[in-house]
Amino acid sequence: MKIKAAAGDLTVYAVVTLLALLSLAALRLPADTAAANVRITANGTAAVYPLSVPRTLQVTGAGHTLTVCIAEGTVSVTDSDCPDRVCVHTGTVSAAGQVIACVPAGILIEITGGNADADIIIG
Amino acid sequence: MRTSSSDETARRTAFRGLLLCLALIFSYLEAQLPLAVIPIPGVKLGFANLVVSFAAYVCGMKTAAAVSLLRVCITSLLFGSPTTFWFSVAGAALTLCVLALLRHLAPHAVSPLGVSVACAAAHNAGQLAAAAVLLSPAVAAYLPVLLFAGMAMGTVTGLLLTVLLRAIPPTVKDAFRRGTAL
Repeated sequence: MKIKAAAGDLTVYAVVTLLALLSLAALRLPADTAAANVRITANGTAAVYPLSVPRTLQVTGAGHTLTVCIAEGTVSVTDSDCPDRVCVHTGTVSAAGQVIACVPAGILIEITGGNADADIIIG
Repeated sequence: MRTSSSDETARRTAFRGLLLCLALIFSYLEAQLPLAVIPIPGVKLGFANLVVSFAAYVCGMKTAAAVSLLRVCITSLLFGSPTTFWFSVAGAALTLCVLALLRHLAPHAVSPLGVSVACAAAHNAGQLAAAAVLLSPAVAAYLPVLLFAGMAMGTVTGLLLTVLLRAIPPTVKDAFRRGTAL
């Protein structure tokens, strides 16, 4: 049995492809940089900063001071006067859900928002 | 032999019930397919849509709409959740709109292949629109993947639909459409 595509079929393929490419251009780009935030919890209070705005903060907790650096969509603790400096050795984090913790100072730095929970199943 | 009109009505009802059952069985079987077969969530073969398109070609849009919407209600009651119900309704509704538009505006320019591709893309887009409203607008980023997937799966079901529409003898089609005796 021979199957012949009608001229309109090619139009359908072209339209769907065009829509897919357009949506790719329109939706994919902003989604990748979707508003992720840095939440810093110290002394039981939390402060939220956008991940996209570079800044350097001094955060104090339990007598220790951490230097938190937000730059180019990543967060790191560049300096700390706490004894073990695990927070500094954690390095940089950038993905939603990642954390830097400084136990001696009781400071928690988390990345929230963004695309971490886009894993869904559509029925 | 001349048959009475009440016989035809009964047969027509029975044949349309048959189509609904087929759509239900296909939905159920597809839900049982492990994700390993098609590793992208939300991507399905769409055999239930095959039945709906078949109904549109053989019986008309009213039957297609009835089969599609009843299938959605019944599968959601049996296997789904309130969330998946809205996904399915949105997908089915958009599919029916596209199906009706293509059948009415361009009945000869677009073959069953093109109709299936358009329906599959519409179905995925409709489901995603519901997901964007109910879950998070961020899922819209998934649209390109689902449109391309719809194109691929629509091609498969479209080829099957073309073969089916040609292979099924006119007497059987008449039985489905008007309830004539086989």
